[in-house]
Amino acid sequence: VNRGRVPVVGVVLLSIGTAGIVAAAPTLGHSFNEVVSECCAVVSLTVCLLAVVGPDRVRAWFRLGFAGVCVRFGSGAASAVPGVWMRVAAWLMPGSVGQEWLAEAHSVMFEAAPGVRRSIERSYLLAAWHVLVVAWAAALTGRLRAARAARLPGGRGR
Amino acid sequence: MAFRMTVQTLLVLQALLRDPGRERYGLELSEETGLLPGTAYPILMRLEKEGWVSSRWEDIDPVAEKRPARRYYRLTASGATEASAAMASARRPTRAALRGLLEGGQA
Repeated sequence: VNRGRVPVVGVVLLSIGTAGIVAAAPTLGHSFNEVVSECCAVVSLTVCLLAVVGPDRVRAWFRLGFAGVCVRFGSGAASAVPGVWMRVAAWLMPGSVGQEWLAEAHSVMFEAAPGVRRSIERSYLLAAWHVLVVAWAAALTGRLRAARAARLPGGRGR
Repeated sequence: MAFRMTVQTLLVLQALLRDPGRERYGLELSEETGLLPGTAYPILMRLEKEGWVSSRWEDIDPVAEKRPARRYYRLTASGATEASAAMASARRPTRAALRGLLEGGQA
């Protein structure tokens, strides 16, 4: 985790969250106490996001674009480029899993007939939760195992 | 076997077992199995995690070839053995069910 980016990303997230709550409060008719509790929820959500996901990944969510993965090969293949929801799903995946998933989807969509590209994209999006669960489970298990190994005498596992 | 053997998994294994030495890419596998590529991806991911399948990215220059690189999948040696066993055990209940149906019809 890049600790240097924690304050910047945290401040950005908190500003967006609190500004949204304060702006929406008159419209929603929320009382002062409700606004305070919603701001507390934003603070805890920000802390959880930074602790679990890491500031680099949160920053990546803001930067829409997967440079080098989805190259456009001429205007005729524009429909073969995965849409924004595919990219959002890919960013939610740990490590390089999302990038590989997106690259394969792009490769398959590119070679498929233009008429079926949307249904292929939909199938990838519908199965994304499965990839997310498997990938995060593997990543968290790996992290736990590494942490346990580091705690062993000598700082090394088996 | 650490994962659940679904019909979709069996379809993917069956397609890979047709020619275990040959590499197949996502679209090819999808055409052979009748599954949408998005559905086949998590299955192939699980099979790769279990060591039944290995994958590699095609080594091409996408700009020169005017298409993105493909990801090729193939059964590993142990994967082919495990997949054959899984296919055989998946067929067994069907035979038993058919026998039961036949015996039921005769009664």
